Amino acid sequence: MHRRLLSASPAYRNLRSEVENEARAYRTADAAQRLTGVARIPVVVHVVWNTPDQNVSDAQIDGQLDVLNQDFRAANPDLAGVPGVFAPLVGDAQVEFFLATTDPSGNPTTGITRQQTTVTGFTHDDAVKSGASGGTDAWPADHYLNLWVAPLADQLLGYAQFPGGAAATDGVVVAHSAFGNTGTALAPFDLGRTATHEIGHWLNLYHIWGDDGTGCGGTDEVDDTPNQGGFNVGAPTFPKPSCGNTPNGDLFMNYMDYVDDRAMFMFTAGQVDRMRATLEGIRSPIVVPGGASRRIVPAGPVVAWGSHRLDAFVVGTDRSTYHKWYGGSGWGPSAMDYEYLGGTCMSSPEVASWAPDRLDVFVLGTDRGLYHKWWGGAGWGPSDIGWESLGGVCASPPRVASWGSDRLDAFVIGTDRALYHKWWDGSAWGPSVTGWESLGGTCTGEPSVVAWGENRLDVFVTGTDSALYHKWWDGSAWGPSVTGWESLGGVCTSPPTAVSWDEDRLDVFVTGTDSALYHKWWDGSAWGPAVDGWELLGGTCVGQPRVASWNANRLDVFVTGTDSALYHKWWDGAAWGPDLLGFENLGGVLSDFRLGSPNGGGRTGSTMPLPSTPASLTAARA
Amino acid sequence: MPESTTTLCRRWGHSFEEDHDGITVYRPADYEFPRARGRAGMELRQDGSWTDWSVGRGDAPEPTTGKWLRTGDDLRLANPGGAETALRIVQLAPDRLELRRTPS
Repeated sequence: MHRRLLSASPAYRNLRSEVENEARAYRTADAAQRLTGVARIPVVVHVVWNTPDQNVSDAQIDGQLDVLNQDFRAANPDLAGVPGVFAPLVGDAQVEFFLATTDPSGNPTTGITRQQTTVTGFTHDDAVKSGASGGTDAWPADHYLNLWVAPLADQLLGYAQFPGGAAATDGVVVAHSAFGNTGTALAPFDLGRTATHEIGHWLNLYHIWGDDGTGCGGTDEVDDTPNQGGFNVGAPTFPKPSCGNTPNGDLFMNYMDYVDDRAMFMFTAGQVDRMRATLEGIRSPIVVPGGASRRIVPAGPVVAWGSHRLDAFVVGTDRSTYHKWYGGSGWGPSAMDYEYLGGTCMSSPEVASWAPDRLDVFVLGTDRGLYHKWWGGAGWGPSDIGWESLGGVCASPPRVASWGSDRLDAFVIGTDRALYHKWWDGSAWGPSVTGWESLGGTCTGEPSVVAWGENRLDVFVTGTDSALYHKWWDGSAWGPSVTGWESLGGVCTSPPTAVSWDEDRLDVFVTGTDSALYHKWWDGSAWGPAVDGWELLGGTCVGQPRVASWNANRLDVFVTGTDSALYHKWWDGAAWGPDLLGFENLGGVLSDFRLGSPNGGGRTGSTMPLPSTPASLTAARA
Repeated sequence: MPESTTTLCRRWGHSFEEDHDGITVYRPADYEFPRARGRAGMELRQDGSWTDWSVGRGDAPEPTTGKWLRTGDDLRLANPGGAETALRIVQLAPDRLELRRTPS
């Protein structure tokens, strides 16, 4: 296809040389001029099926997207299998994929089309890309990555179109039997890597062996990949030399070789450069603007810094912090055990993650000061059971947000009931290691903080009149002022819980005086249902609601009922489930989701180092 | 045309899993090959034309058509530019073709 077009179409030939020139220019350009941050790509999955079993499920599609979002972020757990000599070559493409939420007509969409066909097996002739030939027409290729999933003939696993080709056929095709990591996916192509490979082509990557058969003269136009003879298959054993590339041999674990899914798990930095050049150049219109930062992981007692990854932190009966994690296939350190992290904690842990395999844990000590420890990928700092003292005398548990790499913002209520803030800017704590910035207010409960974008923070508290108050950091200043607050009305009997499922989108939940759940939202231009108005969502709740959002325009709210059972309701993008005022009863007898506030000091036998001169918030303000 | 040439003229898939001792093994294209990301092949026709199906840059098979000439067990494949590959037929059966590259 590629070669046929090269010889037959001067326009394609010209565009292809332009793409190659861009790739070369990118390689030699000043790093400062480069596209920075994460490029987010909207995807439409066209499922074309002949027999019902080929109509892959939404869950299988989600699984495929998860794989892509690991592989193009170097966040795949099997990355650890890269031989040590090749580890320095690993590159994070910083590309993330999401199912399109708007169709070409501007209407809401799931990002999935489904079409039954009479074709029992498509070939590489692009028939699957047209309704006239039994497939589904492409969506505009400058705004969507088209991914067709269909039965393919002749055991074809998939094929891709390079940048510069016709829009009507732009995208990638993957056989239903090689798509995703569940359902119809068949070993050894059942881990979603066919789509990773094809999208590599779609972003202008060539095969790692140079596409010259088994010769040593071909090139993939990437400098840091070893010269290689032909393609590798199966799951080779390291080292596998060819073309005089001893002692390290072929980079057969690269996504652009032909090995089995379980045997491929890395892109190189040079390949990342080619992909980024494509995204900065010919494919730039598809990159969703504002995707400047990595998806922000909300902080809390449980964080998820990657797909199929959970890190949970609890306080034990000895008031020390304990940790366990889920790594995709099982719980660590074991199903029933916890990792001991020391400390004598007066609050539940609040944990942020600003990068894959990075954790920052915050608790209050017996002196009600803030303490911090961190996981940097290889070990705990400052030590396995030690903690860094960050000062303060806190009247609320800490709440933390991270809006970017190596950035942390911590908030507490001080003994004067004002809100206090400190931050890590990548090199030091501000305003000082033990100092705090006062942000005013007279707060009656713990704050809720959310970061929906780079250099953006929104903080919510309840005031002495039980109304909700809001302030925000817009990248240069606090709004409405350093110590001022925006009143958002209501009579709240619980602390607020705020989440954000998109840029410039906020959803806040509280319990009202009638113990019902109330909701308000910021849609980018105004508060709904009104600045001081609230949407009644029913129920009889005890304590603070807990909210999670796993996708755009999706909310899941959990509350405790007066019978101590767990109740759930959800927003699916169109309506509240099970209905506006109803809840799904999930049973149980709960004491609390987490410790709400420090329940008094006075405990002795502290194992957490106390600062010699505890810095009070009042002192810090002076 | 000899019977063995009738056998030769068909579309073959490269059964790379069975390659051995410098011998390239082909099976008829409809053979139940193990699944693979790419499988090259070739098609020889009675009219003397030959199509090489290589693994394409974007994974779709890429055809190149030239001419073939057989003399005894010697097989010469010429690409459109005229460059020739000289091969020796080691085995030819309806379900298997083995070729060895010979010094040109």
